[in-house]
Amino acid sequence: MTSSNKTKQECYVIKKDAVKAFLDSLSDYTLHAPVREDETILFKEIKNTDDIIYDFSNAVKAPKDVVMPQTETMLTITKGGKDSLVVEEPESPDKSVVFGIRPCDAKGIALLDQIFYEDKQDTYYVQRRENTTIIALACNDPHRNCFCTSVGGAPNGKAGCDLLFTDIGDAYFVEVVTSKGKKLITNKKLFKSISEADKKAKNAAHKEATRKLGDALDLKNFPEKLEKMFGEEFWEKYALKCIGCGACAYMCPTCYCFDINDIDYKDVVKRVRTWDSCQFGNYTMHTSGHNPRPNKVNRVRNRVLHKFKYHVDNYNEIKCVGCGRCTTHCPVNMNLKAIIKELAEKEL
Amino acid sequence: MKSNPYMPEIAVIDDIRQETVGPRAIKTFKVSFKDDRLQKGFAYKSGQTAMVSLFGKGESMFCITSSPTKKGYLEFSVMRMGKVTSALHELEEGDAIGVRGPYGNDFPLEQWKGKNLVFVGGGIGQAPLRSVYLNVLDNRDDYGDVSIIYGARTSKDLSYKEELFDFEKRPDVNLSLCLDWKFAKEGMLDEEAEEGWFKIDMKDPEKTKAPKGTTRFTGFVPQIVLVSKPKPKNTIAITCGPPIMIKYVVENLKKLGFSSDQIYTTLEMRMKCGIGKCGRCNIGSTYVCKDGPVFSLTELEKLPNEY
Amino acid sequence: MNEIEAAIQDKVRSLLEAEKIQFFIGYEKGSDPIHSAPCFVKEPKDVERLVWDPFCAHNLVTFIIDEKKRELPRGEEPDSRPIGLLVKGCDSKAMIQLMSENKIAREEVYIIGVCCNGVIDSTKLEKILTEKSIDFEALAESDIQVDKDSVVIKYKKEKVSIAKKRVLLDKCPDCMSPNTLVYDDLLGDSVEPADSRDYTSVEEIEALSLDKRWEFWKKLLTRCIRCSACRNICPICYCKECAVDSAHQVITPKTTYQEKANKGTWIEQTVDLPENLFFHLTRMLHMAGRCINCGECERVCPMNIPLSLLTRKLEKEVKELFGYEPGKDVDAKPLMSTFEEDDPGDFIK
Repeated sequence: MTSSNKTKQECYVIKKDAVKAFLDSLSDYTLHAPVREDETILFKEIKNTDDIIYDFSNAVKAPKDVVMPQTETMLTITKGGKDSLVVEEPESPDKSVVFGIRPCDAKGIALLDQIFYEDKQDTYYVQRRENTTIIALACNDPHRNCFCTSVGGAPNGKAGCDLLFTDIGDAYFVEVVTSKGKKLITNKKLFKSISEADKKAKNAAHKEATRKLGDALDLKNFPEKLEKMFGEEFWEKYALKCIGCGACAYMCPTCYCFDINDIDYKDVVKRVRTWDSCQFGNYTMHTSGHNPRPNKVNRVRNRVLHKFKYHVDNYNEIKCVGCGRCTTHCPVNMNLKAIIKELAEKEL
Repeated sequence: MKSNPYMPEIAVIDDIRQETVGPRAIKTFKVSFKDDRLQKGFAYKSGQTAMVSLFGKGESMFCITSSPTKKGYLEFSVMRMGKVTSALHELEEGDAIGVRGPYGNDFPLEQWKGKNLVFVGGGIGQAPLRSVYLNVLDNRDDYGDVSIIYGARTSKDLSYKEELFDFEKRPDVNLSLCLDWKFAKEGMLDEEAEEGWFKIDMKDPEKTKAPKGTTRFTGFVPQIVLVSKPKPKNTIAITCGPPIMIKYVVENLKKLGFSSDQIYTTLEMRMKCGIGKCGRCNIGSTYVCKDGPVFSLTELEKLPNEY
Repeated sequence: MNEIEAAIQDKVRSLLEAEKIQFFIGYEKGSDPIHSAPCFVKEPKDVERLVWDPFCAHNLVTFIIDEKKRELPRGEEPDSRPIGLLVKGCDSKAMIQLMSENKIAREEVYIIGVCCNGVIDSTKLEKILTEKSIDFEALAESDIQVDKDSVVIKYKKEKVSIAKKRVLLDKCPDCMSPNTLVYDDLLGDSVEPADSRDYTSVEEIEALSLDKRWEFWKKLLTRCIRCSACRNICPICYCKECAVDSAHQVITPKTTYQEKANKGTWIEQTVDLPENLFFHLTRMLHMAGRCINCGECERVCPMNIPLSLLTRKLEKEVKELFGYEPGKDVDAKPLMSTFEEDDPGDFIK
């Protein structure tokens, strides 16, 4: 979706102790990378590259906020006289690099592209996206709730990535995915040519990670099957325990629903966009009080169907990357993979 | 920022018409863009919507109730309901608002050329229909018979009164206005009706014997459909109003022989972006803001019942 | 299957068969061997899903409030039978608090109480398992029990013992109500309560200078993403309409346009430190004298914000200032709606 074109597969290796020098060299960019804050792994804007951690499973929430911040000012309106209003847009975002994003989350961004680039382009998203270069870190040790291979991903998937790093022991194997990624490979002292052994190590790492993920679910005809599973009886069992919070949606790499509100500071009004979730009761409620999705069962069903059916109808791809966060962080331990499995295997 | 789809353009309120009063008062706002070029460039079709900004309160999506055949302005009919609409009702002529759009699909008027059209509206639901029938009447020769059925609770609740009363005099419009038959206690129909409004036979509406040329009825909109008995052949029915009204209008239209692809409506939903991104107006994989708001009953019957 | 689990299943089966309850809310196996999950059982055939193990963390009383908020579909008659509920000692305090606030009537809930030795904090256990290189597959056929002093994990032919304090939820080691206080049936052997509450964690924060304390909370509250999990899981946060929402949760045909137009936006939807701070402080103020420290808000927080530091502080203050303990006495008047002439006023500066 981005303007960067795929280039011929170009690969390098970079020694682990050279990565810091590489990241330090990206001074023209705002750098986002994983850090450990208390026990919590977060993507943060990096001031000191020593803070970056490399040994982690995945960040607690997906770093989608690099392209879609949880809060952003869309417009600033200055009120003058009766009919005088000045509406201003924010300044263009800085160029940024996300380092250490997992392939699932990078694919999440590729899926967001489908929505925000389509039709009437969302200029806020598109500007950030164009200005963001994504360096992904292949997953060598998937979390037990991961199921990327069931939803068309892989621990070394390249969707959404500009560069893909794979840990091969004392070095990273670097695959150049797009021309945008290639632009970052300037210092050939850091990025060295690969050997056959490096390639073997990379392939072995990918293979092992895929093995650890276990058997993928067969979701080939699942979206079509869901068409026949709209009845509430399918969903009530799962929905009853839902508490209607936004943890799943806010952790999710592909949930993108948002709200727009005005904040009135008397002379100046800010129009802000914030994340929203279809699990909140007032998300769809009309001002009249009529609510097209009045109950938990409607809302839980909508979230699952949006990912596994509606998005497939519109964009021909499942809108779930199998990162497992919604299961890991659900206050009531709702297990998305188990729901999908049960529904996919259910005889109609 | 190049072509920011969220950027509202400043428009000024040229005229405000108080349509109805009371807790759910309706006002029609006639607005035009401050920048004349924008006004000329704002090409919309009947059925489309626009996002109206009241800076500091927020944005709300309204159908454009004026006809695209009338250049130089837009009209929105707004019922006082919540935050944005209440604040809009406080505005005066000359005040500035923001407008972005137009959004969504439109009624397929091209396809309907040569056909008879029946408009069935109730309350604020008349607003989207108005754009269509005004458009049709400005291209009168392109269409067959035009019937308008419009109901409100009392004569005070009728919007577009003068305009509709003018239609009573037009031979090329078959108009049926309707006031709700009030319920007395115990759910019995009250004998009281407003003067000059003909009471229909509620038990068997089809048997109503109104004097020829009657345009003012007391009853309920769905029953007026049976009184008016539009013939389904080569006819399209367009309805909008409270959900319960639509339900029985559709039932009665079907009784008269209308099929689902001859019935159209326009939906409303809670909306924020208007361009299919914020997520909340979906019915299944359809987004009302961009794939709607106009749907044929055939299309609606295929969608989940979440609207 | 342990004895308590079997007893729960038997009891629930007989309640459902006799149609004495609408349905039963207990626990079932969760997504992995170190999680259990809430479980709604409507049919006698489904009682086999019910479990009782040291991962039964959720305070299920929340679901009673949730159920009471549900609007009945048009034409559906309300079911006058009670809802069956599995209630641990700590959770029963929520039940009592809600009864004292007239939110739940005792007869609306059929309570199966269970004496509890403590519940495992899955996050802590996961960390320990990782340290000990025990993988989850190995635990699939495991037996994990909490005894008097430790958590014992038996799997394959191995046996691991972990000190309770290292692995239980923070609320457990100094639990003073391990035995359900209000119940229809009580299962399990009575457990000795702790002698006193341990406020060390709170006192550590209190000892910090004002600047340090601000730094501490600033970092944590900046992290908050306002997913509302803490509010929604809370049994005491039962308002249908909440001050932190900018859009109405409930609109009826009777809601006037003025009410809708004037809905105050106390807290903006923007997620930043000022709004997050206001969110949590507003919530905490509403919790004073009401929070029973079930610790659910902290447990469910996906961003690992130690909210029970705040709720324990509330508990401590309320106890010190007013000698009041929420969730102890059904007949107690809610603290914040009563006034005594000798109430301390030193905190009003």
